[in-house]
Amino acid sequence: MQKSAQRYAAILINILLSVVIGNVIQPNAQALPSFARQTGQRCAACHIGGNWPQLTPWGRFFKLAGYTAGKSLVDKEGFNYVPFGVLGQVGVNWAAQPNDAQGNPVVTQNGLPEAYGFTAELGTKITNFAGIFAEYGVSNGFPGWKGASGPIDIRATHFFHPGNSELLVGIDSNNDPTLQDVWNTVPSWGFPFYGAPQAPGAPASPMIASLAQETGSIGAYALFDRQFYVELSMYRVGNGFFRFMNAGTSYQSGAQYLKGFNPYWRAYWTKEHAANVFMVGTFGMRSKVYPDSGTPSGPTDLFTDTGFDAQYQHLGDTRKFTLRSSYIYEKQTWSGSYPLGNVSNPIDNLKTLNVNGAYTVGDGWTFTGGAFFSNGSAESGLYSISDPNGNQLTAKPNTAGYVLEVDRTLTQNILASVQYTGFTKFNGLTSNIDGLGRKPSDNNTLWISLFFAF
Amino acid sequence: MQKSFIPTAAVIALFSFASNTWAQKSWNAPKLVTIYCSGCHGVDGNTPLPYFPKLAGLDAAYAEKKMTAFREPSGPPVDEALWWALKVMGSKKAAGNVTRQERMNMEGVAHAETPEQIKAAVVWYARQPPAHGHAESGALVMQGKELFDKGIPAQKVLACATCHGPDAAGRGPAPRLAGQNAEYLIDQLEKFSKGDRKHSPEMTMVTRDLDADQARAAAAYLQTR
Repeated sequence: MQKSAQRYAAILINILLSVVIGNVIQPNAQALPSFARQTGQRCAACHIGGNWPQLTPWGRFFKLAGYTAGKSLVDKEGFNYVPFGVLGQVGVNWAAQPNDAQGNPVVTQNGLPEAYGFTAELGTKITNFAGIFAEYGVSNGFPGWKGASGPIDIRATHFFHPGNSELLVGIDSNNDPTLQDVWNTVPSWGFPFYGAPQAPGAPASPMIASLAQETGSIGAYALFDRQFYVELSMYRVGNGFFRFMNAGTSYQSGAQYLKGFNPYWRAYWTKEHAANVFMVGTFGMRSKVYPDSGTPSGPTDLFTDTGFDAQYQHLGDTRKFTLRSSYIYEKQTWSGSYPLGNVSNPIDNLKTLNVNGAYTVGDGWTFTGGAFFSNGSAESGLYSISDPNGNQLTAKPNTAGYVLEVDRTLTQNILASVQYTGFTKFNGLTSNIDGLGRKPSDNNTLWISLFFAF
Repeated sequence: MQKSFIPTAAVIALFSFASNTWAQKSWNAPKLVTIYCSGCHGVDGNTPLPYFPKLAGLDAAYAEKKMTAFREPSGPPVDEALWWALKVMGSKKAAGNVTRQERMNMEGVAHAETPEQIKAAVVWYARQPPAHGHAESGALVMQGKELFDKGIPAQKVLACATCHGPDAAGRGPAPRLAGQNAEYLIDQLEKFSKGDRKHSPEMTMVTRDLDADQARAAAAYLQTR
């Protein structure tokens, strides 16, 4: 009896971690070398200190203007540049305690050099008013390599000049809510930008951050005098027409299957003053998700995410720093899962807070530190951990920790990175997080990686 | 009534703070300016980012010449690793009329666009009214004014006003400096003195004996103009 309970706890931890690894730490993307070929600029023109994916004001505008600045891909003399690039990442990950008390691995491939993924990118202006950012990657799913669509963002824009003002209007289609955003505060582009695929992360994340490469959208945005931005996009499940954006996603189980079109909204105000750029904004999404992606019918769960974010960036000639924060409140109405008995409460909530700062010297070194917190309702259907005797230890998603990172841009094409992730609380517990005596800090990881983009 | 007043007032305050420059500013610029140049230099050429030069009121002929300089071959702008390998293999780098930092940002722009588009852009910026400099005073600014007006005879540093005009508005091949971002100016003076910018023998000569504090003073003064 005791042994089976222990095994149950170990399996549950493993499932939890694999869900985290699969859903939260998406190998997400990057700087696109083909955009550098298109504009003739170096990575550092769009990415602060060449430290992708952090954007400079010009990088943000380039994206909002539909990736259209630069040479035409084709003119009467033929092709002007190669619109493709190759990205890849290799690294080693060490956990403080890779195995649980019984010797079962919690963090796999510990201390072993690994290749995480190789990605082909297509990033180019298509015409003078439209552009595309697309990736297709082959990533190491531990175990096994799998090919799948990466982030895809397609947009078309037009500049209007009402009176003496400027109104940039764009339409956009993408496969991940917040992927289209230009600030490094939102889930798709927030810090930590990358993490080891094997390393443990927070057990819960809001729905808006869990839909990468499982959805497809159509939306419109407007930027007025480069200060006020508003956007409304509608997301649906990434099949049918949107299949090309989500190739490699199986909706048989474990994926998020959205019902109908789900609204995503975004608004912000930004202002430049001397070398300083301020932004305050809000974003959110209302998603109806089937409890089981394999059988998309019947009542759905409703997730209402409301987020607030702010960024302050100082852009000195050689020294630049950025402070970022984001807060997301999610209301989870389990109209589908509760009647099925999958969750214990009809309504739950989840709050996540991210605060971080980066300091960049020249085009070489970047030092980043950040803290993350998640807090939410006790929900034994999702977060329950029991001790070997079957007594429930926790049912809360509450997790807190920090990430410290040093990056070195070796050439503009190669980024070396050392990242340390520490946990002070895991699943609502500050000790004995698996019923076998594991401490939150046993999940701490040191990760060294090399990232290249050509 | 009371309740709705506060948010309304807040929104109005926010808009009026944000729109302090809207009245004078035209955003209806040529396509190249709208989509490209303005990303760093601002639509009206008065960028608040201090390490980019302000282009408002800059002589079109000077700016066009500078854009032509960015087209001179010096190696591929993007593939740094490849460029490094070529250098190691003994490829000769063409003498640069522009600095590495400028090339990084500007070479692609200059190559990407047609001469007509570039002409339209420099003419647009030449017509934009330059924003007033930051009104500042103090010892550094006074020192800069002295240097600008009279030079430093002891060091054989020529007065800037001789070529750039007494109001620093630019004259002939000498560009406008009034109101220019100090950080950008300091950077350029350093580049002239180190020989990274070579196209102006006069500036190379003037900056040869200029020390860092004097450069800072000159830049601080010019920014206030």
